[in-house]
Amino acid sequence: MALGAAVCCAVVTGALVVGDSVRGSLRGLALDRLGRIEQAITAERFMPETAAAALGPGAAPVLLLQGSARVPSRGARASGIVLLGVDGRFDALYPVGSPRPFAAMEAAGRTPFPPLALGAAVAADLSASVGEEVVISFPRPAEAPRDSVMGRRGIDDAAAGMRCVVAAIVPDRGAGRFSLSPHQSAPRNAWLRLGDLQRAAGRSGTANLTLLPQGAMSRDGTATPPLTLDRLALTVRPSGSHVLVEADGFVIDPAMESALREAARAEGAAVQAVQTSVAVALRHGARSVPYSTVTAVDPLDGSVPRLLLEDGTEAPALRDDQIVLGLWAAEDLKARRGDTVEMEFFAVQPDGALITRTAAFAVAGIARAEGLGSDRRLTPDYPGIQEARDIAAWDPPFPIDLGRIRPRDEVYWDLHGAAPKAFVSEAAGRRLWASRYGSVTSLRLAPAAGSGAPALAAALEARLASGPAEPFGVRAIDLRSAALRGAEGATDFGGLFLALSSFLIVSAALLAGLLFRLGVERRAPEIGLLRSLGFRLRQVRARFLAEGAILAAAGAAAGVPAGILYARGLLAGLGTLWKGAVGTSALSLHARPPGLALGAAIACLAVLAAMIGALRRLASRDPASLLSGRTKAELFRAPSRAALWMAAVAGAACAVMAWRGTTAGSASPGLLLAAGACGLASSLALFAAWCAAAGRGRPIAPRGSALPAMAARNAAWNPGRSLLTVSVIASACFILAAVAAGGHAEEDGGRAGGSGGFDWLARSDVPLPADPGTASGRELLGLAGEAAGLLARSEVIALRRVPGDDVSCLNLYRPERPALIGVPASLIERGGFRFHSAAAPVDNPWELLKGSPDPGVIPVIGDQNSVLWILHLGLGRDLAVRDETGRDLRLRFVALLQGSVFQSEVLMSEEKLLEHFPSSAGRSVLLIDPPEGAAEQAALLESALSRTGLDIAGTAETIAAFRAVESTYIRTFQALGGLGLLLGTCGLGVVMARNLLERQGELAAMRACGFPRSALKRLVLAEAGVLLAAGALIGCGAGLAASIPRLAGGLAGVQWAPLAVMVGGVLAAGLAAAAAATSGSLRAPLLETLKSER
Amino acid sequence: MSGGVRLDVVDLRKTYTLGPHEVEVLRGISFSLRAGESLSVLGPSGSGKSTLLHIVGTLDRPTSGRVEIEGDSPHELPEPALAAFRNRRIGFVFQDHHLLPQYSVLENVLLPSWVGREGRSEAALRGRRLLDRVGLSHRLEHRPAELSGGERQRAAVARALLRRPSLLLCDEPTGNLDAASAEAVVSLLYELHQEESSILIVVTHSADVAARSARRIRLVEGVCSAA
Repeated sequence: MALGAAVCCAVVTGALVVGDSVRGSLRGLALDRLGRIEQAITAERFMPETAAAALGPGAAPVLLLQGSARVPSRGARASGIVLLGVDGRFDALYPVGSPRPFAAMEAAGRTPFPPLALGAAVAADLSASVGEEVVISFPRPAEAPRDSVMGRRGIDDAAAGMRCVVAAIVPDRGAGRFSLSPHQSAPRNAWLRLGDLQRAAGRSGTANLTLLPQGAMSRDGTATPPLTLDRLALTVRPSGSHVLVEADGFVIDPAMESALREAARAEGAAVQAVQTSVAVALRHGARSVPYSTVTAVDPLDGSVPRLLLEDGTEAPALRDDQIVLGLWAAEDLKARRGDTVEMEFFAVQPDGALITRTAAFAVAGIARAEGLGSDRRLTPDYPGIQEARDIAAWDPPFPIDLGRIRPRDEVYWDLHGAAPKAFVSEAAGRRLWASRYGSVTSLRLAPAAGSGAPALAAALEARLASGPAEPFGVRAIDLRSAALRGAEGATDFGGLFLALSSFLIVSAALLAGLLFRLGVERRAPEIGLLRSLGFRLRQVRARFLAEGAILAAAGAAAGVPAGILYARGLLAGLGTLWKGAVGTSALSLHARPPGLALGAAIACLAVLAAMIGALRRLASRDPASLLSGRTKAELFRAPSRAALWMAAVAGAACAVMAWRGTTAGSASPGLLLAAGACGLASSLALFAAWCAAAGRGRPIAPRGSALPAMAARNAAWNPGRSLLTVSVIASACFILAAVAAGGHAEEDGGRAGGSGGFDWLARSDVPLPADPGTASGRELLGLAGEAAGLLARSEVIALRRVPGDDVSCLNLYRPERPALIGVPASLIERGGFRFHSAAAPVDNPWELLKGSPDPGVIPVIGDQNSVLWILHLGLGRDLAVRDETGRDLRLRFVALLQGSVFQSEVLMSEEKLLEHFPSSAGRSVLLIDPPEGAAEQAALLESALSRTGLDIAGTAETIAAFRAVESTYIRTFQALGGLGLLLGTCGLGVVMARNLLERQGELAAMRACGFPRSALKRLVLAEAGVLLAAGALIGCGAGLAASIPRLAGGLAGVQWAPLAVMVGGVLAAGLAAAAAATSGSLRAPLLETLKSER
Repeated sequence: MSGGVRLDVVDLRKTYTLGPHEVEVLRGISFSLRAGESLSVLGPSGSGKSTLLHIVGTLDRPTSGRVEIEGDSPHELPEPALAAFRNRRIGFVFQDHHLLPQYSVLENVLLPSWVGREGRSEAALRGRRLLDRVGLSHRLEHRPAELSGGERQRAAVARALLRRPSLLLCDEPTGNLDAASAEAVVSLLYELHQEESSILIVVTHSADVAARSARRIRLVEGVCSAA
């Protein structure tokens, strides 16, 4: 019995130690990757390196870009790399002994190309060695938003490349593991010197990440450092009597505009929003003016320049359909007040292509070339335009027909530069040019009366510096706290292994209880004696329980070290055989005293509970029968009404739940498993009823072999033990069968499958600036020839992705900022993919992304596995995240995919994604369904888009990688379940041995009647076989029945081989145990048993 | 089963080894019995009575000496053949009835016929007749726990006689019974022995029971003498 307690304790303790070990290991990895780093400041818009460094003592500016690498001499490629531009301050963030990437690069001395330090994982992918040349590619930081009119969207504008020399391979520890996102696998890092990467990215002197060491920040962990305007990528400067506010990227986005307006209002300043864009042409009749800037602005009462008309009066507030032409344009167009002028302007198509549109305006007046009418500052300093000596030298991001430029246009350029030639209302400007990035190119602030522009600029800077930074794309992340929170893990491995080991624990407890019961039964006369001497029932029970408790405690004490060994074995399994479940072999043993004590306590309680159950019935028998050694009734009783009721109720519950589980449209595994459990309970109750009824059945027939009937009768004779044995075997078989049938059916690659009918899933490190699924997009991407032809013949859906934490089961850390994917209208309309469940009964659950479940709630879709097991949410539940401006968002899961390729991200409509993450430019995920026979041409596309780091994987392989985790858990469960079965089989052996001991007289009498030993062996084996077969049939039947709806729906497939091996093994082991018990029993001398004189 | 049936026990010896000591339980026991004859074995506890009975019944083997039944030496047979021999030729009645609690009275009586597949229908008829003969025809479907001690022993007698054994061996058949029940069982036993013309050996402490046998021997410390 102590052994049973020891096993129970070892299993519980081991499971808890595994949980502690996973948490401890993740914590260790998290702290190792951070070194002394406490906090990070990220900037959507690049901040000056000097400003970043001034954030605190020891702060290290970093330029962080996603990228890819290839070895040109061998063609080896690696994608998904984090490129880190660092200097010595980065190295200094890690303790002595940690790898020092920057120092390693510096130590390389003079190299023909900039030195590069490769992380061990990337170096292994590339098989690169020190001294080898490697070309890295990364997204070229955009000067203007890529998807805006002024954004450059050619592939050469989107991606930059750089040839480097590998200076060092950085080991996978300390600084070598640096990552902003927690993940247990080795980060795919590559380091360059900060200056080298800045130059290659065209962002000299800037950084987009600042790492702050411990002590550099306030200790409350909430305060962000004071942010100066340059850190916010803003320009605020007095310009005459007013203050001019401009932002990097030439556009002030809505959140930033709102924050600036609020700050200005607080200072009593009036705000004038200015939008300046390019008109392809201004037309009046047959006359036109090419490539003019047009400004949308409303008049403002305050000290800002005024738009004065020819007659010297101030231009009135314009209606949406009115325009004020500059004198130059009016003369050029021969237009007068009241004439209609057409404006042709650029607009961005959803696929990223530029088109032109036309709008008509009534001329409301002609502006003088003074004040606002000649203000060059209305137009931002667009690169390629502002610095051009003449229009012919323009290098604009939009297509330009230089043939349309006239000498008169050059004269205007010479005189007025980029000053606008026309003005429309602010509302008209927003209508024509607004994009998700906003439409305001600058704000003009008129100081309050009595204040000047310099004072307003200073006050504004001070106010912005102390205000929230997130509207400006600057975010402070408490990396250390986030890492420690994440290290708690998405999955409670302690709980998981407790659950996986549950059968083992129950088996051990039952075995301990059974052994205790058998021990007590042998001492029945002692109990009878105590009772007859006047001991009360409670005293007898307490006496025996005290004995049991001592044994249980002794067993538990022995079980703790065994539990640590068991945990070590499980961790070894997780690092090798079951590595698929955790993706790392870096798990180490962390045994904490509270975990060990808890394990021992749980084991003791479980064993004591089993003992109480065993003692309850025995001690309450009458003293006379106990004195005579009789511990059970010697009559078959009528089937217990309670057992029959239980069978009926559990059977009905099983039927209802199975029906619900099937008709809910989701074949809910939980409901079906519960239905199976009810079926199991019902079957066991029926078995109990059969045991009770067996003796009342038909007499053993006078024909044929009597052995089977005798075996069945004998098996039913001790219903308590038989039911216990069958329960243990059946429970194990139930779990094994349910697990074996819980695997997924083979992915068929169809439209209604996990791949949605797409064979390829491509991911690019550089977001594609145009949609490769459209002809114009392919043209913008510079795709031609075979690659363009292949894409033209393929179905392609391009998706935007907001980087974040991997929410799939491949990430052990608890995700805090899930990666998001924007689902375009084309995919919503197309539909497809297999859904687990949806919040509303619709044919195409993707359509649910379009709605809005509640005000302020964004509908999202996730994969059921990720939502349930990693995010610990479900259908209809909300996930709180922050958008890129720091506003809180509530994402509600309106549908759950099943076994899809989208297990790493949460999906929302592209429209909503762009609304809340407007800076998400380009598409970095492609779903491609290539034409028949093109399976081998993935490399063609990868090569054509190699600068983007495009990596194409088969959707089947992607899904298989996710399923590998599930399969690993199933294998783990089966292995632990097998151990439990082994224990259950041991229990069966013990029961058999005890039964045979009690039946010595019976067996002797049968031998005296002429039964040979072989017949008795067969009889006993048949009895064990009856129990084993009953257990296996009941368990497997209930387990498989629970999966029938999923099997019938093609959602699951039974892993017959492991199930057959496991159940076959149990039957064989059980029969072997019975055979061993029988041999021992039949070798006992008959004489002693049969002797009359005792 | 009648006529030439003969039991010869010749110089039977049995020695047990208990640790360093050897205990000679039977010391050269010899006797012969013919069909229809009965023998009572008397003696104090530990004198070797049950050992003698079990050796004669082939449940135990002698250290030396010979047991021949109808000219066969069963102890020379291998275990399966010995079991078949016992099934066909020998019937036992023990002090403790050794009825199987999970079977009905009829099933217990039919138990010897379940060893093989042959003759089970006939055995079933005979079983019912024997139970009728021992006065238990109304208890066929009852469990042993539902019978009195005397009834159980009568069922055991019926079971012993099912295969028409040449040799009926009884080990203290009334040891657990009250006087009335004992009388009933013993009377029945001897009547059936006469009817079946078997050889009957009864080990008993009871002088009354022993008196019913034609021959009586007394065992004292493994040595046989006429009683």
